[in-house]
Amino acid sequence: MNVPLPNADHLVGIVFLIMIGLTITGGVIACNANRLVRAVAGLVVCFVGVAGLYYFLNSPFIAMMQMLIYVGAVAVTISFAIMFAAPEESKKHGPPGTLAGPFGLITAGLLFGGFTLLALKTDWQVHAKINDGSVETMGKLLLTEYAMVFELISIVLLTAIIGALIIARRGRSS
Amino acid sequence: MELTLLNVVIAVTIAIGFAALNAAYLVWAERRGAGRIQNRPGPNINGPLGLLQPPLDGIKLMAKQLIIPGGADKALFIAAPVLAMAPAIVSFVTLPFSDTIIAHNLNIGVLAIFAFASLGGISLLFAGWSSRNKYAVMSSVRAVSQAIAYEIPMLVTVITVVLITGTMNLMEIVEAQKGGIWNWYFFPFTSGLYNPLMTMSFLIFFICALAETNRAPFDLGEAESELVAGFHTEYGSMGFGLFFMGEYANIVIGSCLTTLLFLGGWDAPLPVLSFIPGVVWFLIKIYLIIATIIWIRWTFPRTTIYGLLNLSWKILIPLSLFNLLLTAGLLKVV
Amino acid sequence: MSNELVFSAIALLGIAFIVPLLMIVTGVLGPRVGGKAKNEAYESGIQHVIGLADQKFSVKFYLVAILFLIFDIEAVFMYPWAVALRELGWFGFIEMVVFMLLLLAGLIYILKKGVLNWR
Repeated sequence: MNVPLPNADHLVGIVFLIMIGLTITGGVIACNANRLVRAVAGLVVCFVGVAGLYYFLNSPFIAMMQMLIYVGAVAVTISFAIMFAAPEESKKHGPPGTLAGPFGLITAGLLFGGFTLLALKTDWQVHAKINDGSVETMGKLLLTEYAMVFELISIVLLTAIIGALIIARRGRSS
Repeated sequence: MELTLLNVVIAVTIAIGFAALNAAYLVWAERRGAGRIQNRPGPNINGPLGLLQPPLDGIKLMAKQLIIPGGADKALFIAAPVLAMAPAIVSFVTLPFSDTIIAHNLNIGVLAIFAFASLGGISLLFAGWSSRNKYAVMSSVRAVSQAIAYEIPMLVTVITVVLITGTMNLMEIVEAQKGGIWNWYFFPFTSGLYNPLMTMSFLIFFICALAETNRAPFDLGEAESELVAGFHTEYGSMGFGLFFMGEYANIVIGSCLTTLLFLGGWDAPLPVLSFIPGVVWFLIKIYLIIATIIWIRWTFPRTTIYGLLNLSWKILIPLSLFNLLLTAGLLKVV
Repeated sequence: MSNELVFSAIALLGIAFIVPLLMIVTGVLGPRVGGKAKNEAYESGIQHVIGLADQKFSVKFYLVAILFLIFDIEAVFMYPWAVALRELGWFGFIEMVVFMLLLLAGLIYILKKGVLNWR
């Protein structure tokens, strides 16, 4: 029985749309949740959605990095920070000022308009494939053409380690 | 093989079925094994040797009420068990069982499994945090910090295998180990590379696999003498069932990875024996590892959380980094 | 559209459908009895005496999370290097040695400072 995949392209398209939906829904939940747990959960949903977008845009390595680093590490770090720093949950802020609504709307409108303008005005060029996008090519480029960037990353990470240590020590003394 | 809808559906169904069946019967195996080690019978009433116990347990779990505690965050409380089980099944889809039996051959297979595992880790955090129970919160913090502490040496150790084979594709990694027990990476003496360091990689990986799957002696997440039942204290019925199945599915994934990376996958130990199909060898190997894991659980006492974290940060991480450097150097010199 | 993506799409949809189904089945089959005592959090019989679920943890757990984040990034960067090492030659090897030693220095610094000394 060799039934070819019915409308395979459509199916991938639908899953891609689901991923876009996840990203946006997750972001909205993260911004608007009353409970901190929900906000972090929204963030995780958003990260997973972005990973899905990468995957279905044919860069599985970036997708897995997104999952490993953002879902596995960043979300955990953020939730630990929230859990440790602010135990009294869902403390509502006072009602927002009267100007918050209009200002928000204006900012959102300006941003939307600006980006739309930018998207319409840009002369989009479809590049031919630069390379095959495989992990091997990535590794080669990372250590030859972008070697400087690569070494700088390690310095940034070292700085982050020392920064984390300073935060932790201040936490202990107080 | 042509990709047809039927093939895909069959592959996914087999992956889900294999995960569920293993989860169910490993519970039985664990309880029987524990019984044998502790000199008591274990489940032996339902069916011959108690073999009907898992399906009956499953039916019982499904027919129970899912009690949601008053203070809990309902949506997250229900979502957490699903989030614990689903990534494990996704991982099964990417695991090869023999040179022909594989649902989905991913080029970055190794990394994909770690990526899905990290999603499982965060589900524990949600489970504990959303159930608003002191023990559950404490346990989830412990379980997550344990999982993250052991993920680093695991990731770093796997790089040694990737270095030698030059690929992250699990099938190609197994292909590189073909030709008998002396080519497997846990102690390869021939295959053009004498590398005693791989034995160390294997040991580090196995310890990390035990810790990552929350298994004794590293089961601090559900230390029942201190934390009632850990992050699933508040869970009953299928919520608990899914966590339980997820845990056993993760054990199977851990042993599959160990087999694929270090024990030659579906390769026969002696070339003479290769008339036996690869799947059989693969299954024999993973069940031997699982038996070892069960044996370890009922033999060693639980460590403390501090001892656990120290073992990773002070010993395993520096060790795995040095191991990786030496392996890379060796590869360059040879 | 490559076959790989089609497969992933079907597999993800299937799994996203089946696993939650189990939770739904248990919701349908199981009884739904409420009650104040039944819905209370399980605290080994002690009712909210020793403290609620909100409690402060040692800041070290947070430090461990940040360190994990850093080393996770490091490990992920090493994968492309590991795949390509054969073709990179000695230059690539030395680059990675520098990269790793810098981070190892960070780890040793942290260990020497005694931040990870748990009780």
